[in-house]
Amino acid sequence: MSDHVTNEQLSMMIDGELSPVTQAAVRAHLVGCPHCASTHDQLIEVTAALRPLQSLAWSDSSLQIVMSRINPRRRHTRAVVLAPVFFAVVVLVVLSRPLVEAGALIGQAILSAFASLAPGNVVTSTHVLYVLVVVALLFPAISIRLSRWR
Amino acid sequence: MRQPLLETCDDGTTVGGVERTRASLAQGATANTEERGLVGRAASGDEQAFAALVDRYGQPILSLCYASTLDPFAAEDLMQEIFLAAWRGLPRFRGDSMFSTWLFALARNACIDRARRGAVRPRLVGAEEEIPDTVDPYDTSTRETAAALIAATAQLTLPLRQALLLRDVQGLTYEEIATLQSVPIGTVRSRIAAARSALAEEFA
Repeated sequence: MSDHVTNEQLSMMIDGELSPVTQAAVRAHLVGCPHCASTHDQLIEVTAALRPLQSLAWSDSSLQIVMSRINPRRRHTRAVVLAPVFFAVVVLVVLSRPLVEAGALIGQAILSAFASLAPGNVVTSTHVLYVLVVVALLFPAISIRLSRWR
Repeated sequence: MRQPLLETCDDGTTVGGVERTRASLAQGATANTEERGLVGRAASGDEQAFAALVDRYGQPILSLCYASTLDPFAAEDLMQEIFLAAWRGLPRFRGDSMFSTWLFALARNACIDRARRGAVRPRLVGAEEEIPDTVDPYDTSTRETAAALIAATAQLTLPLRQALLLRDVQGLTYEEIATLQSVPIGTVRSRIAAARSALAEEFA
């Protein structure tokens, strides 16, 4: 062994990683070397001071948080689809008969308006309004279909 | 005989964390058929298979993140980013190496990137926040020492800080740290000794 013990040997001795023979030699050296003994004490103090620092433990909630980040999009899409469907079902159940009658009237009016659009006739604002109504009614279904394709 | 560190831990979670890390690293080392099956299914989009892998390696990854950031919240956030990256990159994993090797490499690179972005530069101002609850709040001297120690630990280079905290806080063996850091055991010994020496000089 050289004049002094290396910091690595002292560190390994603290962790119990030295062979019994080497450990005995280091301990014998420390008895007669104030410099190495002082270094040894300082390293032990550092190790002891670190021990109270808390480690982090893995938990089921950690797993859940990770998995929620893995796939948040499907849950969002599911909500986007289900909410309007649920709303539509409620409306249909509540307003079934009057809704059917109103739908029939609207359909009749739309067909009459476009039946009058013979070649040469002018497209009026009424025709445009009816087109917008149809598009508005079909828009939720179209947008949901488009989001799935994306 | 190495002095076990388990008795220094006051709460059961820390003991459980060490055992869980040890089990994860041992499982990774054997790379059994069951894990290969899980990896294959996860790569095809099987979330349950991926959840099993996350649960298996969550503790060592979390330990590595905390040893890198010294901040529980940053460590949790970094851990989530690592597994998110693993999920996205898994279809490209060809199985040339063990899954654990690939995952730990991903984790190390993420820790390095985080350190480079400056998120773990010395937090001298915030060190007081990281003093653990095990330190008596009325013991001013000990709290000051703990705060100074945390600040000094943050000054260490990332590999040294990781090795030191994985050993002295998480209680991992040299072999387990070598697996996580993907370096020889001799390098782990050197890093731990260098880190302790640097801190000892700071407080001499």
